Amino acid sequence: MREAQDLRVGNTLKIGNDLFLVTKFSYNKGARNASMVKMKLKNLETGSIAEAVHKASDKFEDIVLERRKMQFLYSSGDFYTFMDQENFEQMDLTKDDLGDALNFLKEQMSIDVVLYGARAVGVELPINIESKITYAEPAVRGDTGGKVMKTAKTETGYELQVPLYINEGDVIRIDTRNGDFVSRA
Amino acid sequence: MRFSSIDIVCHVVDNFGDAGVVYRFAKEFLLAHPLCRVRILCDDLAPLAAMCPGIDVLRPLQELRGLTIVDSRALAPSVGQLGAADIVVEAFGCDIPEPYRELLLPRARAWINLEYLSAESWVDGYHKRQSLWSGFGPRKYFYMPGFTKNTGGVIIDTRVEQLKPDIAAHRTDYANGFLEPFGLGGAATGDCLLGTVFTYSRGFDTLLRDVQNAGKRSFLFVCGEKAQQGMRATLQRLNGEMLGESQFRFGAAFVLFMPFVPQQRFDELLCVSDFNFVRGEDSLVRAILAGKPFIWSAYVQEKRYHLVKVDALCTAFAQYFGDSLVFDRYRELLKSFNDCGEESEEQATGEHFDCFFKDLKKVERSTREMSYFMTRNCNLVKKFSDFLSEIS
Repeated sequence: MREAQDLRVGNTLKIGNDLFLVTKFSYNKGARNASMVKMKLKNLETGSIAEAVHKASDKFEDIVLERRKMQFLYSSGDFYTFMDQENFEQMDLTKDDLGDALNFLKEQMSIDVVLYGARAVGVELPINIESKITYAEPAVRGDTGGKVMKTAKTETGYELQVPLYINEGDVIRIDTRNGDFVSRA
Repeated sequence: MRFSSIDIVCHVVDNFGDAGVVYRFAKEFLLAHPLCRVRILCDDLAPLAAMCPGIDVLRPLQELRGLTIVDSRALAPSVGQLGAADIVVEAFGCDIPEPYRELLLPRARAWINLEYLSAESWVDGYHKRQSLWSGFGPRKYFYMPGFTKNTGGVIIDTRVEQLKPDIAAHRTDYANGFLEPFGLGGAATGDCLLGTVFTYSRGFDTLLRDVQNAGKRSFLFVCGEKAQQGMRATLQRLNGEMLGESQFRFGAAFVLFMPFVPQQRFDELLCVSDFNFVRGEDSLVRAILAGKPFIWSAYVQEKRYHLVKVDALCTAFAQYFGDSLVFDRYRELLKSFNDCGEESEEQATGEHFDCFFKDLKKVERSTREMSYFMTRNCNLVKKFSDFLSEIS
């Protein structure tokens, strides 16, 4: 069993008799340290998508599906093509399959592709990934105290809040569970 | 969905906030659905009894003004006799007690987690969402109170709304009613300054000094043990004059320690006052609906996350300010007032209230506008009832 707050994109859950793949995940703190998570879940049998909210402490039966290390080659329209690095087999995933992982996906990136039977159904990201900053707001003079943040964009087009000392060209580490800045790489 | 009964399950974490919101919700829900059986199942009746005189903490099952009150700690042997409810509200994700969850919850038609109030923007996306985790039977939904039309709104107290015009017309009489027990009946005049102070433990050095500088005879009603401890320590530091066990004077300011004020009287006190320092969730909502300038003392959270909550409240409030400079000053004050890591009786933060008192009328206008908007568009019980008819 796994608590909802420990889940992340690419995990598979069993709810009732159905298997669901987590394709989007967000965590939010309520008042008095109570927390909730919102997930987009894909039913692996029917392909239907459900969006659901849970208490962070809700427990789920997690299922470990087969994973294969594959390299992301390219995207074309709605399809994203990955290649098995051992047998060179190629598999396609859609935007819906990838969900939040799209924020961090770079060409040539090696990543775990989740398989359901012989079919690729999603990807599982490592907890931390590195990405290059391609745009960062200039720091405002005087904003030096406390935890002042500014907006920046990574090479994959993902926007996030970073500390003032981060500049264009820096490579940063991002927590893929919540999409937050972790540190300078 | 047709329903004829609702159970509201509450776990008292600390203080009076959880039970206070639940009681107010139950009261208003019954008013909106007079034929519905409304039950509160609470694991500590003491806060409820303090807020609504008439509740007996020793009775596990009782009726009061149409509500059924159940001490959920006494549930185990008799839970089956209670009978199930159509709707089960899990207040603030409190976890339904085991015997109820096993025997009665599966027979409910909907299970709704009534969450804490937050002004953060993510709340909109969580509101009315279903949970897939429903191993115990009924479908579970999340209901998110908030300050916008897209959220679940806030609890509007019908009685207070009806009373507000009378309080406004006879403000001095109401004020003197609160001053009477201190031997100050008749001391309130049209131009005096009245304020409530109901915060977590903190120092009030700058508040007392700036109240002085406002240049009016003032009366501060200090409510709750924590605020009174902080105020007592502050008065000692500043050499305030002790007039009695619960009455002090600092220059032209009378500082009055209120005994526990039941919910209805507290609501009236907020409406009578010129400004209110409030803490937690329910008092914040009451202060906004009172339409009086307020300072919010947020519940201190790990990693100073409460500052995010304060900032979100400011963002929600911004649209009601016509003067951006007044808003900027107000936002800075709220941020600095809450810029603390833990509760302390010392003056640990660097806020100044001179601008707040100078801008009082402008902030009041903005608060009234927000109150007007909330009352008309964000009535939680009405929205909750609409939601019940949406779900099948």
